[in-house]
Amino acid sequence: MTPSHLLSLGVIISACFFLFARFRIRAATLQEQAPSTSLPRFYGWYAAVLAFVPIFLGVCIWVFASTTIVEILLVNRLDSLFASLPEGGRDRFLAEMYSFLDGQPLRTPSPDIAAAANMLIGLRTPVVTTIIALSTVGALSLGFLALRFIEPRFNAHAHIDRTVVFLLLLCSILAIIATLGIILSLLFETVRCFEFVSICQLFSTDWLPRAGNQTALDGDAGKYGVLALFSGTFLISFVAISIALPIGLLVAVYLSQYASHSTRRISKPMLELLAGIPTVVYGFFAIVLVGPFLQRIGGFLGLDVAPQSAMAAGAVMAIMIIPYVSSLCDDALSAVPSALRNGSLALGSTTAETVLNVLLPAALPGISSAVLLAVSRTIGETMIVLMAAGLAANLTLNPLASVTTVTVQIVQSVTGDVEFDSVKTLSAFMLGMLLFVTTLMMNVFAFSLRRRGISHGEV
Amino acid sequence: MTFAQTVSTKRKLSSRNRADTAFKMLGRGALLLAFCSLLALAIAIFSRTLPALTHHQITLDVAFEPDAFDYQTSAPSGTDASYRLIYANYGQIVGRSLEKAFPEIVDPAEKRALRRLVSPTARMQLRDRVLANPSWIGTKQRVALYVSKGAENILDANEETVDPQLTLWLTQLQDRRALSTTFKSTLFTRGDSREPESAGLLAALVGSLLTIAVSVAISFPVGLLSAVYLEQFATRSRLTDIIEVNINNLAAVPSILFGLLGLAVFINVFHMPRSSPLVGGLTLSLMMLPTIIIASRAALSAVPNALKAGALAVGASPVQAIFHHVVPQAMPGIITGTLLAIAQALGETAPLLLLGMVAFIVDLPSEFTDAATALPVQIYMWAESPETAFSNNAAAAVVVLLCLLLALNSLAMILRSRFQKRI
Repeated sequence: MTPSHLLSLGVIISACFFLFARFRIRAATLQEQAPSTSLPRFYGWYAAVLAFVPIFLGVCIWVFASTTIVEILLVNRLDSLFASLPEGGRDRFLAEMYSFLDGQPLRTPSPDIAAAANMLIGLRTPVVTTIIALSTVGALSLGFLALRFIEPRFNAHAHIDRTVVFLLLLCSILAIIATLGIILSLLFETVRCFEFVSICQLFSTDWLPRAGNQTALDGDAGKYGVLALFSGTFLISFVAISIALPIGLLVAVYLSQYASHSTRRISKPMLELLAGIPTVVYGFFAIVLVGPFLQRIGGFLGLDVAPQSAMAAGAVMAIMIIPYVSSLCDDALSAVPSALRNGSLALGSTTAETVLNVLLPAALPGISSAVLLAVSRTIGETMIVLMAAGLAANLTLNPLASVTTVTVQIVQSVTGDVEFDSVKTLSAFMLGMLLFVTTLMMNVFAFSLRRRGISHGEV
Repeated sequence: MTFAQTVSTKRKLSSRNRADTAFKMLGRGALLLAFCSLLALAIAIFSRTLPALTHHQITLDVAFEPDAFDYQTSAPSGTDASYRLIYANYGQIVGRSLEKAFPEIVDPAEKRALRRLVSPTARMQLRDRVLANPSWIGTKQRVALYVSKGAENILDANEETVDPQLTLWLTQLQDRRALSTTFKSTLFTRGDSREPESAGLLAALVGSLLTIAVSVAISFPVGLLSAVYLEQFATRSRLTDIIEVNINNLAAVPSILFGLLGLAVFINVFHMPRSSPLVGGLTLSLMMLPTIIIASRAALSAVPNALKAGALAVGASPVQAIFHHVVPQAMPGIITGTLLAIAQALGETAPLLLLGMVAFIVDLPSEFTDAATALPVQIYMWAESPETAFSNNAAAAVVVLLCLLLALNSLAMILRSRFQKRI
């Protein structure tokens, strides 16, 4: 039996209660010669929903929590064994047992691990049976309870409506749960990371993470200085912005001030097309064309261009964010009151003078917010830098050199074998936390700038 | 105004107008630059797609001599006649027909080197043909065989180290018109492989579809319902303010952080299977939520209020008024938003990398808990490979992905225009 079977069982039980309840309320109205408060189907729904709740909870527990429950039971059983293990040995034992169960043992399992794995499999059945039994019994008893409530004076419709609104509220709370989940998971693992890495160490320039099995050999956990990573990230995003901002701004000015209606009608979808291309495609573009092209130009000019230079990644990223920058600049320009523009034109300024002397200064807060949003976007971008930028952490300001970024190192640290007790994996969460805080601050600042720009424009 | 002033003003005016034209040209240049990069992207991809979609073949006179079929001295007991056909010495057949095609070559070492012209899969090709026509044994047939990886690289003019001997033979074959190209269907019918010529993207495509199915199954209902709540039921309170700020924030969180969330919560805490479409879909559904909620809210608020008021006036409850009258009217807009969110999720790579969907998948995943990969991740893996043939495969996969995205976007656009006409 799988969770989906239990779910189907729940649907069947609910359907039965729906029919029971509808039959019962029809019988009751006939018997009491009184009309019911709600339509018969609402009584049906009332019973069906009540009966479905325990099954739904059961399925949720089965899917999300059964593994944890089984693990807790197993740990209780093996208490004496774990007491003899050294510190941290329990987590390693469990990890090894799970990889043995997945059929990918890290090494030949010891008899203890094989025995524990067998015990775990043995524990699964009773836990699952208990979940199924409890939820079925709960469904039946709640269903019959609902049937007892049903009488013509009972307002089932109001109850159903209230349930629906509650369900809607639950759904919207999920957005909060997602954000909380991101913050908590990052925070939790970051705190664990700081058990191994001191905060002072973060402000050094060496980034040399080491995997758990390497650390186990000589006790060296590696070096975790993030300065070079952030310098690389900002170098690439500086290159991208210094290309994309002038182009994006000029495109926005041209399309809003000069272009004919038909040009605009063709250009806007083309720019949207550019914005809709997945980032992995841009990464591919960087590998096959932009990287080699820049290297060839560098060779022609006598410059030493790394095969995976910050320039290549930045240039491709610039192409990616041009539509974003231009649409944000377009918003900023159109937020400027038209009286300012018309006044300037009426005094005899050319369009170019109006744009440079009136529109751009007035739209400056909006444009700055566009720059910030674009920077925050480039900082969080992963695929382009993963494919076009390097892996080694270099502290340099030379855009022709190879640098690495925060996102690249996150991917590098958690692909392959992930052990949740190694510093290398935890450092990915630490980097994620820094990334989250940086982008969040930029976004908040950008939005407050934009609001100020709009309110300024309205005055 | 004196005459001199007018002249200087006129001169000034013309220079100002010239500056205006120059500025306009600058803007046009910027737009052109953006389009040129789009064009360069398209050319870079499409020029690599064609080699990935074609296979070169050599047409050879192949003699199916009976002695090759008696290569195995005795068939094991309990096997039927097809055993003889399956385990025949096809390597020898291929080698001999190549030698016959180049009678001028006498050196045994060079004769052996001739076999490098055809792919190792040529033996399988011959086996399949013989199994289909057993009467071919003892006859001579013209058969087209796939060329080897090295020959393919020469014919596609890939930037790889080139074997001069192969180049010479291939030009001779070309002169005899013994070379042809066919459509390489393996790309669409197989999973990944270590050999670029037999690698396909079907497994990745199926993995992507399973992942998207999970994420739509979660994010569409949840997104729709929370949009209904926020737009129609919620009274302005601290809770709804927090929810709104959260949704806007969630839309701006870098996608890689969703991958870390999935890793920490679904894999580490809930022990869900790594690399599975289930975990990938759950993670992507969180990313799709803000897009769907924002689009659905816009669609719901565009429905005229009179509709709801009318329903309430004839005695519907608020829930009935909204679900029977407002939501159906807003449905095209909601579906448009969902399609755009799907397009976004379909191209998403970074979170799936973290969830271990960057796996070498040969067999098609059939369940939500099977190990799988996704189309954009497959592109990433092929693009990172040093072999040009894999890079070409990546270009073909990019074309498939872009076609899917284009289809989704056009569908969304059609829906949107229909919807606008009706209101």
